[in-house]
Amino acid sequence: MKESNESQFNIHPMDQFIIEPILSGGEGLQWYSFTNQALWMLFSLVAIALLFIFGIRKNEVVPGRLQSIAEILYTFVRKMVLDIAGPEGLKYFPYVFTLFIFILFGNILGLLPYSFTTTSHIAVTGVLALAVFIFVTILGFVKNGFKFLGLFWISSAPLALRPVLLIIEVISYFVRPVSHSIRLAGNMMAGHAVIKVFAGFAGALGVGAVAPIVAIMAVYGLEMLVVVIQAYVFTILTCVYLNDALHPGH
Amino acid sequence: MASNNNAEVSSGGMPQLDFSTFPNQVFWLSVTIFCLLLMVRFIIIPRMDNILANRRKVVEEDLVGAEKFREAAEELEKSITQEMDQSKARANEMLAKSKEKIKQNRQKGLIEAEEMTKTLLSDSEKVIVTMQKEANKKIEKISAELAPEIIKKLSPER
Amino acid sequence: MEGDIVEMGKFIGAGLACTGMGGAAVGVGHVVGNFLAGALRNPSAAPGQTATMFIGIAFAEALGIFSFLVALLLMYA
Repeated sequence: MKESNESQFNIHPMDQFIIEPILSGGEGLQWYSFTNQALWMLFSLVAIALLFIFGIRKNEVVPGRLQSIAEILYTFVRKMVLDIAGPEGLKYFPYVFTLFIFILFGNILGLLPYSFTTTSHIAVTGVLALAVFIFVTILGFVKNGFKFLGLFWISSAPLALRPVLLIIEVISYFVRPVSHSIRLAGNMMAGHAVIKVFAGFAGALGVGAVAPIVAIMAVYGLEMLVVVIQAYVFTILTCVYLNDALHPGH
Repeated sequence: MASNNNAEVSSGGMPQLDFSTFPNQVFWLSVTIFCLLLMVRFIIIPRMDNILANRRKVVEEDLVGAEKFREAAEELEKSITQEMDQSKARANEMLAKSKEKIKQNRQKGLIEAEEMTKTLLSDSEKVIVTMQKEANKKIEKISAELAPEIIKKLSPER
Repeated sequence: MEGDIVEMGKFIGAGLACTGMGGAAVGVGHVVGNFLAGALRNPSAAPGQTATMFIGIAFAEALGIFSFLVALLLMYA
């Protein structure tokens, strides 16, 4: 981390994640100052609005291109909630859908050059995962009362094993938000850092940098896939946790 | 890490673990998520549900219409097959009738021809018999005429 | 000098922690491979189980993420 040599190989793959205040006249970072991260969150909000509000303006039988995308996303998440959390889960579909499109658009916009990946920050994903965790825990107690604790007391296991399983289940329950958030942030951060490292190689090699550019293209293609899958995984885990809260028996 | 300020972070380290930026991130994230949730809840979902329900209705209507058309087509087919059966039966009838007629005609012809041949045969037999009789008479006459002459010639006058 | 040794220990520890991510890679490969083997035997049942596969991947990956977390904490915290 102590790169004192100021040569061409001075690559800072993490610099793209720095949060800087913009439009603030140099007063430093306050809790309210408008940062590059807030700007890109706003961009994803605008992109979602463009797709879902202006893309589906026409009420046609055969949908256009944008409308098809919007409808596929919508029916996909709806079916996921219905399949995993059951019909009772559909009540919480707006929140799950909000999470999905926010993460998806944050991830995809983060792949644009010079952009900022909002979902690569542990603070962001941590807040999202903690919100899901707290919401699901409260929902479980509200819906099932103290029967919700049966989630940790596996009645199908032999009696001697149950205390051990209790410990394991409690730990894995409280570890959920950690893995939930770090999976997303870690994947986003690692992918973008790798692209940045290859880009640094390309910059150092100059005109003859064919291999790094091919590598960037390959990693970029992989990242397109990872970006969508991570949004999917975050959403599907939310559905699984929701299902645990709604039906703790199994 | 918490002691790092922004300038130090930019030379390495992880901006993600710079806890001084967390309040700012949490604030803007909550604002964004709140706006997005309102947008999803009150604009996107009603609209999408509306569109999908409309589409389902249109498709169902189309399906019902198609079902009606199918029924009509089936009825038409039924009537066509009925008519075809009828006309086939009629044609068969006509065919059988004409066959019968032809058969009768042929039999009649056969009988006529047989009768004709019979009369012809009997006529010719009669003719032959009379001719035979005549020939016999002629032979008798000729032999009666010739006999004395033969006898004369055979007499011992030689 | 002492600080350097501590620093070195941190980096070595972070590198060692990263080997745990290899285990997660093996786990994810195992999940997907078994899913594919089952899906090729009975392709008609495969689409209904894709979500289950992704959940399995997520759980297998979670433990690799912990080693990643440990590495990050050693490096930067």
